[in-house]
Amino acid sequence: MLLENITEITIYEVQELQTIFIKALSKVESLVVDMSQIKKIDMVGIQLLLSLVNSTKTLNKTVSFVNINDSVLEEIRISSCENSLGLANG
Amino acid sequence: MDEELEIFLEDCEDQLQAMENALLKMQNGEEDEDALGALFRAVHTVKGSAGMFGFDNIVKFSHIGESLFDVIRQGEIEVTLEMVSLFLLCKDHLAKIVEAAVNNTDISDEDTQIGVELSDKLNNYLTLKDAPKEELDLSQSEKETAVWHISIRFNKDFFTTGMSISSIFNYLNKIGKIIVNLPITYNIPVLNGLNPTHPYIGFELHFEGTTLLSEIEDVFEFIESDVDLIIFQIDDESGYENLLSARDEEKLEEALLNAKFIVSKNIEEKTPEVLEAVEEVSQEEVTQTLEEEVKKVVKEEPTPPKQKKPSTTLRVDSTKVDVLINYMSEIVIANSKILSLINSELEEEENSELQEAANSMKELLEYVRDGIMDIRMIQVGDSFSKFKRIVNDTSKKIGKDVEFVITGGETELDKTVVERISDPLVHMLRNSIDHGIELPEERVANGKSAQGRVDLRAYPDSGTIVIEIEDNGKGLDKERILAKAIANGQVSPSANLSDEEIYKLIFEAGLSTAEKVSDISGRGVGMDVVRRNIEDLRGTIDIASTLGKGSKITIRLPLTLAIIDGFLVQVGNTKYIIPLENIKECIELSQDEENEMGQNEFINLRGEMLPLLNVRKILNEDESQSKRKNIVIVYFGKKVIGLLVDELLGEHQTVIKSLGEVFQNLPGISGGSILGSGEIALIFDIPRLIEFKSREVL
Repeated sequence: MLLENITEITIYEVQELQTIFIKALSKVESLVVDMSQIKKIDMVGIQLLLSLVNSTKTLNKTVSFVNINDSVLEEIRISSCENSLGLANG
Repeated sequence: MDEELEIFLEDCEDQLQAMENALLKMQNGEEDEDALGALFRAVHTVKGSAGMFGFDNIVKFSHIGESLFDVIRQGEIEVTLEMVSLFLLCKDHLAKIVEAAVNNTDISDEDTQIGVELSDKLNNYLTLKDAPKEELDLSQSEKETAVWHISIRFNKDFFTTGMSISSIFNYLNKIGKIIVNLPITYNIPVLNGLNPTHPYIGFELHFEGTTLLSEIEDVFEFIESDVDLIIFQIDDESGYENLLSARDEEKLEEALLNAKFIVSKNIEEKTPEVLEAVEEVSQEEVTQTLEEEVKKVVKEEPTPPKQKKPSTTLRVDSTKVDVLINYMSEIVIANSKILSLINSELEEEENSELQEAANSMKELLEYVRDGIMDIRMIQVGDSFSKFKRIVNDTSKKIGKDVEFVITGGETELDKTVVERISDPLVHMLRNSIDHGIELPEERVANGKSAQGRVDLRAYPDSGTIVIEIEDNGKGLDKERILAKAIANGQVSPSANLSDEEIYKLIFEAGLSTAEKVSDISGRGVGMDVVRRNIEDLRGTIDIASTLGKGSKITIRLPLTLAIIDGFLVQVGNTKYIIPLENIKECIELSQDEENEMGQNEFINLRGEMLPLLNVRKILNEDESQSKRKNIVIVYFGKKVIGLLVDELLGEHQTVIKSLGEVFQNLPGISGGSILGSGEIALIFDIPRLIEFKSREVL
């Protein structure tokens, strides 16, 4: 899925994205999130992605994040969450 | 502007003001250690706070200043007027870049250039000293590298504060290195149970650096009320035990084991099968619920999780409380004026109802007053626990092993008193460690345990708060103190002083018996300043000591500063107020007793000798208008004396007003108060009067 019309995953977007993710997860077994439009993320956003990962594990589904912007990746790396988000090789 | 940024700006403004004051003092030739210390602390605080917000240019600029001030503080460089002027320019520049950072605006090219030039000039002073500074560099390189475990959890409102945790990680990487950062994600619920703005994530870090605990804590200073931090050195044996017990509701042990932060200890007690079983059950449950909810949510919005009990505390700017107290003071004065008018102007039958109303008003005002004063009361524990790191740093620095025990942290004291007592306490704690506690080998040789102990206690006692600092070190050497005081001319060789009086000499200016001046005891305020600070708070300080066994400093402080319950008396033509908390009883001095007393200044009170202080004689008051004489028996701590006065006028709510600079140091008078009639009454400083009387008796 491509996150349309959303360029940031911060405290201002997490509520909306939470609903989007829940809906998406109810439809598919394997979710691929295209992050190419996302230019900024903060810890609230990272926590939402981690919650998504936790949800997929519980439901025996999978999720992967692709096309991650460098600045977003850097923010994730600073807090060492790349492993938990399955981005270790990205 | 974010609330945190606003606090940052306010804090920087305070620090910059402190810098300016210190520099102006230095410019006027009043250079002292206090000013240098203030200068260093100010720039250090600005640097630390800026670091947390990721304002790198501020950190970089203030770092140079901090290094230079540190070198100056160590006495490596003599400050010149030229340098003070340069520092003032630096302060101005710092103010500019702080403002630009907070407002998120660019710094003009001109200002950037000024910054570069100022940095160069500061660096020049630093490099000038580099050659002969070998010793200092050596000590820098000898600073031990330690690995710290930092465990971070966030309070529920953390995300809404707008603070970025990655800035903190970045800053930690600047002052040292985060070797491992283990995000704790198992507390993050699945999407349906998630309140996305509530922090569930946590972090367990291994941080390596030459930093002290206090420096790491400083990094978190700005978010300290929004985070739950546990910091310890990884080789601290009890560190992980404490961490696990503090976070026992979490599956932290497992996470720490997996990350190899700890080696298996207790985990074996729970067999892997049991753990798996527990996990399977909970996973199944979660899966079920989640699937059900996923079906539901397509139709409806997710319901937020139940809110915890709402917080009942309110953060209020303390100046608002001060304003209230000021108004309260004025109301108290106005009300006593109404009362005195009723009593003097109206006939009895006219005034009964009015008097009743005024009296109930007075009573209600007392409640309001107590309520407002109570807002100002804070527990001393928070302030005391900050001393832990000071004790820790100080003892480590000089190779001493000290156990620091705080008791009575829940004792409440006026906020201003707590703030103003902090510096003197730090100084006395440092003294206890530096001069009191012996080196471990010396202690062992004297048959003591290698680890010394310093106790900091607070407890209420007869209307005052007592703070004690007790150490089990070597105690005070009274012979040496006396010899030094005699040599300094502070005491006459023929003076016959009690032990306590000799010990109290350490609070006199210029009396240091330290064999060598270390940077610990030489820093900050001196013992004479300590005493003055405590006396300014209407408190007293006493000292007891046993050579070889230790010393105990006892500080007694009044509960509040602004409004007190007083007792109005008259001597000659002047009215005086005695704080009610110091009064034991009042008795009339009969003619027989007066005759019996003669020229002696004491009476026999139920078989005990009671020293009397003749207020008329001491304060040159006129002869009494009334025939009666009264004695107000006052006490402070264990000491009791009688004050010989003319009239007893009754209780009076007293708003303490300063007497202004001219009369500030009147012995025995702590302030003034305006009576309802507009007259001024002087407030007795009972501790001072008792001390004065005890000296006279001796």
